[in-house]
Amino acid sequence: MSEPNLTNVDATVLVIEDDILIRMPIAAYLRHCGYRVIEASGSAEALTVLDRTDLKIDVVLTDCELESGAGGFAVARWIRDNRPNIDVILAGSPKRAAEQAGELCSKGPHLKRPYEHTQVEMEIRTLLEGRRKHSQESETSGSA
Amino acid sequence: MADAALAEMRGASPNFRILLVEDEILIRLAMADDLRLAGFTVVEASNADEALNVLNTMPDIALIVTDIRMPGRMDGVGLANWVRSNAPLVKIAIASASIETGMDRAFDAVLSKPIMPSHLIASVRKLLPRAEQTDEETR
Repeated sequence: MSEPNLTNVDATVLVIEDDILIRMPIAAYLRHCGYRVIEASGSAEALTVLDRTDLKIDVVLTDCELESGAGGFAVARWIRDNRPNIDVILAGSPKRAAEQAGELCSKGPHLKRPYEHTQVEMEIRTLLEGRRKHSQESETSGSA
Repeated sequence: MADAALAEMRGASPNFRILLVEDEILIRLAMADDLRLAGFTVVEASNADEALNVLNTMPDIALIVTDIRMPGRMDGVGLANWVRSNAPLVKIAIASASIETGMDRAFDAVLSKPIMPSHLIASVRKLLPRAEQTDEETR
């Protein structure tokens, strides 16, 4: 397991992946990096968690092509419509999936599978940094 | 149990790897959180098929905590029987809302749902060797 740049992260990542042999190592790596990780084995489980607004979630990492239930895109759309403060990282391989991912989150990241764990962590960190800056700017403009 | 009380137990929990098999995500999430707070390493599986994938690739699972009623090809009892035959050193704790007579003799522990976090941690710790015993064995 490569060594991440450890700092105190106070963020929760929901990992949606139906292949346990992919989900387990990325979840373990992100926990090792200091994130709280919630694991969902498909879109139904993910929506159960996302529906609970008392569960704080900052970033969702989802496979584009989940085998059962609604796919990763449907989950991403649900998040955009219902919990827009959550950032979404889509991971997929086919060209169509990449195009849809681009359309869905034009400025959001989409990872090509197989991905490096360090790359995922870097994307999450970048999104969280962006949020922090955005919230600081909002506070500054609000107090001006 | 409060986070602080669970965290206090952390020092006494050697870093065993536990496979938690539960199809209801909110129950799995709560149980996994409790076990991690107590210092255990937890692998989460949402059904028996996922659990078998883990058991076939990860030889250092010390304990499996599994729900009985789960969708899929195999339920928790089937999974436990597979573990008995193929990985006899792995301890088995069965969790169910309806415990049947004789289950306590068939498995290493039987947990009645809903499971209080303190009961979960105490049961798990009873099944796994204490850290100091492990140290002595390896000397």
